[in-house]
Amino acid sequence: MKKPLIKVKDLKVSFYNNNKAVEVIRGFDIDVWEGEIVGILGESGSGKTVSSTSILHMMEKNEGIITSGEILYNKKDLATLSEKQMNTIRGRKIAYVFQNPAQALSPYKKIGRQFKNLLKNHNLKYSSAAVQSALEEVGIKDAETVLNMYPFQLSGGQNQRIMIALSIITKPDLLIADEPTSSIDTSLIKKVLDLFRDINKKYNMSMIIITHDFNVAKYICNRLVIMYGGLVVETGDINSILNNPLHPYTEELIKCAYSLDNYKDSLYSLEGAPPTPYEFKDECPFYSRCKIREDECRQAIPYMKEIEGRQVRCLKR
Amino acid sequence: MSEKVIEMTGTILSVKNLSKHFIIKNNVFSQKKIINAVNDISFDILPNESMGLIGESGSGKSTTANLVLRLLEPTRGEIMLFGKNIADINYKEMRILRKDIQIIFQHTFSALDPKMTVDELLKEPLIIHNIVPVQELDKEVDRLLNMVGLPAGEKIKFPQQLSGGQNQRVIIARAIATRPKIIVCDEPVSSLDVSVQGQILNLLIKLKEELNLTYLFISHDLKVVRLMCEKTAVMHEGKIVEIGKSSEVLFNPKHEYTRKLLDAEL
Ligand SMILES: Nc1ncnc2c1ncn2[C@@H]1O[C@H](COP(=O)(O)OP(=O)(O)OP(=O)(O)O)[C@@H](O)[C@H]1O
Ligand SMILES: Nc1ncnc2c1ncn2[C@@H]1O[C@H](COP(=O)(O)OP(=O)(O)OP(=O)(O)O)[C@@H](O)[C@H]1O
Ligand SMILES: [Mg+2]
Ligand SMILES: [Mg+2]
Repeated sequence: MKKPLIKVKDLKVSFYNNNKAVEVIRGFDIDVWEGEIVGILGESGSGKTVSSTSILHMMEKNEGIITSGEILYNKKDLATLSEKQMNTIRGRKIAYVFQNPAQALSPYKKIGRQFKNLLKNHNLKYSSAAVQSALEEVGIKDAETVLNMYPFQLSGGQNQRIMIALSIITKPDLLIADEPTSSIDTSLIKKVLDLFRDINKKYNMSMIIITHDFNVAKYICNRLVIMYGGLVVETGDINSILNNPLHPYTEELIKCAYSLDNYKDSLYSLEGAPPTPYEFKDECPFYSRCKIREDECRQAIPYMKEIEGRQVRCLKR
Repeated sequence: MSEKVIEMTGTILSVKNLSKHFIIKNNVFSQKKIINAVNDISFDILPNESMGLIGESGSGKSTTANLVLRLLEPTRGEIMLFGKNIADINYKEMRILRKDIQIIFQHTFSALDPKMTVDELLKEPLIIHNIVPVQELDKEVDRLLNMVGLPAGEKIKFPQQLSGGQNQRVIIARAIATRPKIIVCDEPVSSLDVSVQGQILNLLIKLKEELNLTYLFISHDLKVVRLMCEKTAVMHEGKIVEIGKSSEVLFNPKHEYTRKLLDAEL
């Protein structure tokens, strides 16, 4: 029997800048089952990073605050836990691979030291053989030398893979990886995704993979969550979404991806820009760019509808 | 002899036998280790011709970009920018050259000062390089915004108030502000979602034509290189293992490593 590992319900997050609050996440819901791989896709700035970092209370510079919602994990609500309690979960039970290596790796510590510190913090034993083989698994050549190097001496893609090795060495229950393959080439993407799949099978490790690459999602995800304007706008299993997207935004996004794969003279592009949090209104976030919009779409933020086991936030479906 | 002169003045960028070696101190055995990040590479880029630089992670692409921009000192070799060897010129001359060669990086959020508005961010390079008279600054900012497809109203905003795609447009506007001849793009779209990628790539193609630009375009996304570049060079362990027309290199590769890269596309 499959069991849910983590359940996030109606999470809302605001940032405080100069004493002014701006709501950035207006409704983030995600369920991840034991051993499941869920993908999050969506517009740049739609809130993928903020909502997933808030699961671990890691919003930038502590300026971000969860204003409502629940994060149920292991019979606890993570949204209410103290920093001390979170420290036993973060990096040990739930690990996070940051989009930007500079955020996760300490600039003044050698790579070997970063592994030692992490394992020590969670009372796990350091073995240089185990660390070297973890690095080799993510395609780092000459791991012994790399352990003696600083992050600034390594390339973008090398740092990204070192973070992946750091995050899985503790064998967490849930791995959240934010654009884990955005700075590496195709042959390494495949290697990293195959590794994810292996550890997913071997340890029944659940995963949330944030990506903008449909090919990556297709390769390893079971289910997708699509975000736009600080909201989840669609969820469902991967094949139904790719073959029959319900939300007009998802449909446009798939068209763009297809055009990039099969371009002719110029790329298909979706005109306009998404609203930034400073422009959020109580209406459908996609209204200004939508081809099937009607006046009623402006009356309120559409609610999540159930359609054949899938969910979509659109009045016209 | 005369052919050589034409070749030298005719290229935007000409790199000959360029190498960059880093020395790493290995504490454990207190030995030194040399990393040949860039190892004896040569290539030419002609006006209005773009070159893609692809290759494995750690193969030396960003190091090459940093050398060409002279953010790093070469260990050996020659970098001719518009016929001038930039290894020989002083800081002041490089500052003047810098307006002709610009860069667009990958990480959009960290590339812009969060305390500056879009207006200030665009005026900065215009003032530093004395591009237009002071009284025309506002008009020039509006012109740049228009070129990259941003409404003039966005001027008063700070980077964190804009989306990733809009920030990337500001970065591009800053890069073209100094009217460069060549722009080095290091993974310019890899952190953007596919709908924004399309917009930004269309914009870069449009600007290339309108401004007669040349790109040195680093990307691990072969689809993007196919679209953007007439010429492609493939790097592997610090060396260029294959270089030629994109239509040859990316569709009919000669080198085993290039074939491996193409086969691995998901
Ligand atoms: N520290 C902050 N202060 C104010 N706003 C912020 C802060 N960090 C992020 N934001 C805003 O929150 C929104 C969501 O950002 P987030 O980084 O989660 O987007 P994303 O979906 O991960 O985008 P991308 O695909 O570009 O990584 C954006 O509008 C961003 O500008
Ligand atoms: N400052 C430095 N000191 C020591 N070694 C360095 C330094 N900068 C880069 N290197 C090494 O040079 C090699 C090439 O790095 P570079 O950043 O050029 O790779 P890249 O091709 O851009 O890779 P990626 O696709 O991952 O960004 C790597 O092995 C890296 O460790
Ligand atoms: Mg993000
Ligand atoms: Mg690089």
